[in-house]
Amino acid sequence: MIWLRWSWRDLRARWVQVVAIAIVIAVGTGLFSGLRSMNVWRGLSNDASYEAANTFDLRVSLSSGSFAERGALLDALDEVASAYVSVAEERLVLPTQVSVESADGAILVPGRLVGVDLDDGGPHVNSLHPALGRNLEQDDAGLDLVALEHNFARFYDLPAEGGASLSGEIPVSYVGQVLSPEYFFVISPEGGLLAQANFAAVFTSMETAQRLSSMGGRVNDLLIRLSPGSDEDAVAATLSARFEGFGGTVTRRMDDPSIRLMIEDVEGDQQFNTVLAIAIFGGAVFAAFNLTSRIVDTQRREIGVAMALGVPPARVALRPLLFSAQVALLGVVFGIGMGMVIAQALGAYLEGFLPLPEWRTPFQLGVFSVAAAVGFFAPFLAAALPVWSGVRTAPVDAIRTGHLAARSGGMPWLLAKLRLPGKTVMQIPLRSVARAPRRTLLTGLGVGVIVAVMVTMFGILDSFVDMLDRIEAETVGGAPDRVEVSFDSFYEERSPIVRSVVEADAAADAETGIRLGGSIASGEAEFPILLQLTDLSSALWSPSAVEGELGAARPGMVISETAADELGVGVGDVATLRHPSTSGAGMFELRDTPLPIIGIHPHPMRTNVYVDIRHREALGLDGLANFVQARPADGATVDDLKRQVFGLPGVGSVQRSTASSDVVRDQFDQYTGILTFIVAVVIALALLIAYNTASINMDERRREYATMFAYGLSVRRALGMAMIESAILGALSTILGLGGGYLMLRWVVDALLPRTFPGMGVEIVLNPTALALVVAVGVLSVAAAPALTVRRLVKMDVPSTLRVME
Amino acid sequence: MARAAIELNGVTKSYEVGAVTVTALHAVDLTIAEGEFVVVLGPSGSGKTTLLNMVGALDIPTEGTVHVAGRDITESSRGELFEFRRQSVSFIFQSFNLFPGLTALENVQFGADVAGRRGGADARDVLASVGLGDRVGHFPHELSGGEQQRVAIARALATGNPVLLADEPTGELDFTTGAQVLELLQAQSKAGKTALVVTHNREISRIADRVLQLSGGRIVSDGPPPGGRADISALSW
Repeated sequence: MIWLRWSWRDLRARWVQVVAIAIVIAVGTGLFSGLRSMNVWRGLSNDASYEAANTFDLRVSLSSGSFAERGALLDALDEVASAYVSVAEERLVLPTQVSVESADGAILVPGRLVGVDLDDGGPHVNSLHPALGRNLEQDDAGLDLVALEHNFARFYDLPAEGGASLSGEIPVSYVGQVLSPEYFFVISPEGGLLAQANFAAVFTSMETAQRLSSMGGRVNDLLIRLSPGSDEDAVAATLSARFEGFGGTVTRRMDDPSIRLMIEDVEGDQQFNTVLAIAIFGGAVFAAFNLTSRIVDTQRREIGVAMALGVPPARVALRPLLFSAQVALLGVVFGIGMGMVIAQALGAYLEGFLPLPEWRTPFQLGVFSVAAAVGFFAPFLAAALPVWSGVRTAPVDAIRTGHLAARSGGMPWLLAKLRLPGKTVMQIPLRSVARAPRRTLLTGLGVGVIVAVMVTMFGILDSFVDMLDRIEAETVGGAPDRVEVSFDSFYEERSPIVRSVVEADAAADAETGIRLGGSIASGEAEFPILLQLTDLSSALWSPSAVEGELGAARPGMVISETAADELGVGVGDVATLRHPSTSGAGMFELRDTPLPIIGIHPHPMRTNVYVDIRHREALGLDGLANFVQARPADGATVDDLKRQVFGLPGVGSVQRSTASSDVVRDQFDQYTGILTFIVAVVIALALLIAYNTASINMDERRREYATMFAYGLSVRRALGMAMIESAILGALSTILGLGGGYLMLRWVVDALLPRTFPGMGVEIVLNPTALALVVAVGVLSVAAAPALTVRRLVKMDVPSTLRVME
Repeated sequence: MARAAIELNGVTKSYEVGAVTVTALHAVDLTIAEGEFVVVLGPSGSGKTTLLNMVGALDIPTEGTVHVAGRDITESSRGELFEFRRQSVSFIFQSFNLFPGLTALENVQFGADVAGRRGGADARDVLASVGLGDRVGHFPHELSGGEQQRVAIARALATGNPVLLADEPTGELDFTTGAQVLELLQAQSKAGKTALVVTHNREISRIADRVLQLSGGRIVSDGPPPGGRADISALSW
């Protein structure tokens, strides 16, 4: 009992430090379990959402322009696979243009009209989940009522219900905003990620879709849910054969790019979150270990005395271990609270960031338990080391007082021969740091890990912002009001459809161009691109060149620095473009065209490849155009231009040139919320560690301070020395942290991002403000931490402290 | 007669220990002249260290006044007390209290730096004067107890302050080493510094100019050593 009471007194005597250590453990545990839980939550929520939406297992899509009579696809399915099908529904899916008025002006984007069966609360496969307003109902069938895809509507802050118009200026009313599994993560038909600013899916009843598109009684899409236990591969093979005659292609759920990315994104995030969680938690555990160890170390002499009195080592160890147990227990108790608070905050953030029909954010007891167990045992280990060292010390040494007890160790010899400037008073801090290298290193690592996490977080933020800025700078060029008009197909450049846009009253400096998907290859490397044929010497806008010269003197292409790096090519080298090319009678075929690289542009995305429009015949696209870029004529606004052009036949979309980068920035701005939250918690952790380090330092040095006071050194100067010592520690920690953070950031940028988002030319950037904040936390806050212990200096009982024998 | 270096008038010091008031010093009157070597004797709890702390401005009396080196430290502000300790008194502790991160020379230099006295003795010379000229680069843990205490004395001397206050300076030392330390203190007294040494070792008092005997917080005797002042070589313990 005496040991328990004694350890309890130890705890009470140092309750502030103990609570601070417990909070350090708790914050580390909470953040670790929160970050690790995010991936579990996303996985659970994805599964639950796809299940709640009764997402298709197999899909049969008829080729563009092919249709079947309503019911024909279901009949065909019944013929070959009825035993394996749980439910199946036909749809009519057609490209369209969507126009909606928002508070910021007219929104005119390409989209998809999806006609679904509303009978009996349908659709029953890929069901719609109302996010705002109401869902479509059976009574809406045949009416000009639609539901807007929520991500699109949310990007533009559209109200729950309102008016819209579809291709051909067909007015409709939208009754709500819905979530659909194909658009949980919006990808445009061209493969553009985060396409909610540029692409709008519109859902309506089958009857309405057929009427609005003049496709009465026709369908072109079949969604199938298989019965449990069905062999998906076998059914898919059967369906492929059966629907060949319809021009149908069978795809699986994971073939859907949106669904695949949702799943893969979780895996990519998991790696990042795990590394982040381990780093933060490791830093916290390390700090708790170090601080507990130092507290227990002060009992070293008492351990020796107990040994001298014949107390068995196991019992000697009891008091420090009981002290550690109390710290650990407090850490776990706080950790549960902290874990729940952090889990709540992260869960709420996720739900806001990524709207899903079902969000599952249960407290992850397993993840938390692992962290809590490590957090619980760290103080024990921390106590074990000084105890182990204490019980191995000969009792005669342990109880000795006086000169033989004077201990130094460490590496003061490092500085002994070094002639340092300034008075000895000012040299004491540096010498104190050198005197205890183990303590210095452990403290440095503890704070350094936290600094490293901050560097990584800020680095990710700044590097992304830098990339977005570069995208924006390159996209805007000298024409901030540039508008891009996309046609719904290829047209002859001289056709009335193209000319009507080029010659629109509200347009000025209009130029035609071609934009199409393809790929680029050199050697073994190949990746998809967005090929754009435009006037490379345009007065309105053309890509800039960081290498080579742009012009139409000879056929060639301009690729990004990222693409050049990945292909291993430079200006003058030849790469092969694989692109659609006319094969007569309005048909297209893929063709390989080797072209020299004439320039490198600074756009960070590897996908953007440019060829001068004057060389389109070299690509088999002579005389064609599918987009126009222009600026508003004098006296006209961007909205004027958009409104005038959108109503013209053949126009698929009209957008400001920066629309794509805007959506990426918008998504990133939302993501910064979580990074900022983590940084805030990490800063709090750093401050806690700094305070506790300073507090324990103060205890360890109390006799030295008392001696200084006896010699008339003022509290202010003594505090100044403590702050200088802390600043040195902080600087060492920050240097370690900056190095570690850079390596972590390098890994994120070089290894992790390319796997999750291939082809993004992210360059590591840490802006001066972020660097200043890191240094402020790493050096200044650590340096300033002793100020929090000033009361103990002022209240120090100097005579008693001086008489303490060690 | 020499001027008073230390003057206590009706100094009482009481502490509250729980509900009990403990009086460590009872209305002590004391005057010590400049250059005097005074030893304060007394059993544990007699008030010796409290007296020393009063003189060194580490503690303030509950009643009475303390004048040291011509200054009334009972009326001084906190800042003035710090300044007083820098300029007027120097401590020598039983357990040395050297800075473990500083070499012997740097510990001595610390004293000089803190006092900031212009034209003061060179730290190296002071260290040599206590017989440690060949130990300048050694750290405290590399020195014997006697050497550590001599460094502590050198540190006190390097301040150039007129009053030396020593609390059991030989308490942790063997006889020979203790004698060396006393010799140093005596030499300082002869050089004009006032030395106030607190000890429970009656033998040490034999070399003092004057011996104060404390008991229960009161001075019960004050005068030259009984049997007259002895030479250090005559001591034994």
